Amino acid sequence: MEPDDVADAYRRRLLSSLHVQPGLDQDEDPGSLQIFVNHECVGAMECDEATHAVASITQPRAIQTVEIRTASGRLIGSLCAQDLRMKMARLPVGDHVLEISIHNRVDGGSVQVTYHAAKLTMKQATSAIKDAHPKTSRPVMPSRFAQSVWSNVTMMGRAGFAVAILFLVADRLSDRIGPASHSEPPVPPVTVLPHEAAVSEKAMARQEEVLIRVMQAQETAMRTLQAQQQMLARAHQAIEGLTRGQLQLTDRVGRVSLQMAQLDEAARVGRAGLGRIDTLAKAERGAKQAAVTLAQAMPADLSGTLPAKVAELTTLSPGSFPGITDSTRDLPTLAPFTFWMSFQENTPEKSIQDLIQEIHGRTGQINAGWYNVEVNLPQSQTPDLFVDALKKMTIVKSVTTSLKTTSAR
Amino acid sequence: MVDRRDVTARLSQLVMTVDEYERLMTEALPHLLNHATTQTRRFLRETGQWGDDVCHEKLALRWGYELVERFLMYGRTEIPCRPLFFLDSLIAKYFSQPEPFCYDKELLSPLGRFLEGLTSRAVISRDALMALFYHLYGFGQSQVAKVLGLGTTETQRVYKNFERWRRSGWQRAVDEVGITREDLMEIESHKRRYPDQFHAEADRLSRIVQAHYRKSEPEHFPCLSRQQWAHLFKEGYGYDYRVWHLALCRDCLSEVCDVHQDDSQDVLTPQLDLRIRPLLNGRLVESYHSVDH
Repeated sequence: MEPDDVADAYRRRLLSSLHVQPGLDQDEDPGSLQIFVNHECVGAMECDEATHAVASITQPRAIQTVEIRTASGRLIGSLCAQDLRMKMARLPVGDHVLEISIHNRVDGGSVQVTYHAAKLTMKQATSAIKDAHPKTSRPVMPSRFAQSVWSNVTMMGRAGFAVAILFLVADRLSDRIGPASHSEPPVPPVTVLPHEAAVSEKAMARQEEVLIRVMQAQETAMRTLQAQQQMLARAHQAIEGLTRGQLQLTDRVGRVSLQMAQLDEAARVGRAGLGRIDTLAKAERGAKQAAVTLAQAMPADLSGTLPAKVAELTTLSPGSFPGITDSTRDLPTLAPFTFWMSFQENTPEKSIQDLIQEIHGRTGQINAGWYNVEVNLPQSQTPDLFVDALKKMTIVKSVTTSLKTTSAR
Repeated sequence: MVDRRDVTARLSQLVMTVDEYERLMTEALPHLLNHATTQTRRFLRETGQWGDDVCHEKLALRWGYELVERFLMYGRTEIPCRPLFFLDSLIAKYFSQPEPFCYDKELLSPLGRFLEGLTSRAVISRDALMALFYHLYGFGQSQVAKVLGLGTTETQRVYKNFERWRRSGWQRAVDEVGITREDLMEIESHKRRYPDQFHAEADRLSRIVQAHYRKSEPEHFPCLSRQQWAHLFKEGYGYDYRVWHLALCRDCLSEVCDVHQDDSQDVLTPQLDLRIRPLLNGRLVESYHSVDH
């Protein structure tokens, strides 16, 4: 046989297999149904002689496809979900019914497969329901809300319709049976002819059959309604979860934005402060160099006569310089500023201390009524503005920076 | 040509009802199979796995067939839809999986295709899965029941599966993977004339195939240690796991047989002993089309 013929023969064989469409072959007893999620076998559902079997599978991944196969591998039902949503299908498998429901969430998905075996007495009723609603497996709607609401409305309508039929049938039955049971006025015995009795029996049997069908339809509708309600509740839960998650996310984003703004500000201040440190370090190095030169130039025995400040400067190290150390530590927000101020006469010491405390000042020497004060000024406030503000205080007499300053300044 | 264009146009239009869909599918099946086969061929070409020979053509046909089979079922629940677009989306999604097919040049030989077809069928058919114990190791019903530790009920079910597989399952699997009567005769002839070579080749190829298809198992079905297997059998749980995993993992099967031997049970150590045809009523299924499909 030529290669092309082999391929053609194989193609014909496959086409003939496809013509026996999956799911329509009713000969095989369902038996053990295999459930495949995303093309992986995740379990089996025993349907032998059972009227109702349910399998629920939850997975940490989103569920894209669900396939139901018989033990021989025949595909009898499937459903695919393209994205995060709920989807449900009711598939006839011979006289039986297979319900597949997929519920995908952000954190995974779940599948519920329900098998309803057809009882012998229910076969007609089931087929009647299927005939009445052959397109129940129309799961694609623009949104899941619309789907749920529409399904609920449809189910409610069906239930209402079934109840109405039930009422009409019951009414007719009561019309027939009522007069017989409520025979208050004595009624002469009526001879019922045999053929009339047979007709009546037939009618009754027909009525009974209709009633059974209606009841079964109603039962099915109620079951579907309950399932829809459960799914609606799940959808609400999922939406609530999403809303909560969104709120938390918004909150976190806000906080992160705030932190980023603060970090930007700190970085800007840090860059300015680094320039200031350079200046301070240069000044310190200059002062130290000058002091060392001075100390070297002086005789040893005169060192005791040096001014205290100069002596202090000769032993300075960059780390022990209070201004530099503090400014380095507090650099991102504050800069030290030392000044002298005098107060009006007869100002109580307590008022003076209160003011110094108010401006977060640190007092140093007091020289002839002049108080040496050091404060940490925010970068946004210049020393001049600060001095002007101080001068406006009623108890302040005068403020100056020139009387005595730290060597750093 | 005009017909084909007409069918293509109709497949691209919106189908609104199940009846309309099924009518269209019946008419368009050859076209759908061609379309899926062409897409599969293109995928194989683009991934450097194509060769212009009948083996590759059969592979493309087979995988195209499997895609169309799924499409026919999925489509019913996707109405209203444009069937051709939906088929394309299914194909694209399937090909986007890591290693969607078990492709190896060595698997293109009749023996390779037989082993690959048998194992791929076992992934979707429980009957074929159970039958793997027979085809690979020659285990009969009682031996399978012992190895898997099955109870009476499960054993009866296995027996039913064996029977169904013997009567129709094997033939259908062989047909659908494209194994011809000549292929079967070639495999059997090779086995008869060069048993050692045949055994070595079957051993190697079956490991490749099993490793590929075992990946489709759920994540919580890994290989177990000897102690874990012993515990599983002692406590009597994980029946699905035993069947699935042991049919597709020779190393674990050997571990389990050792565990049973430690418990003084009369269980054979699994040795690859490839059986091509199933036994039906005590004799091999000889005639290619002698059994019902």
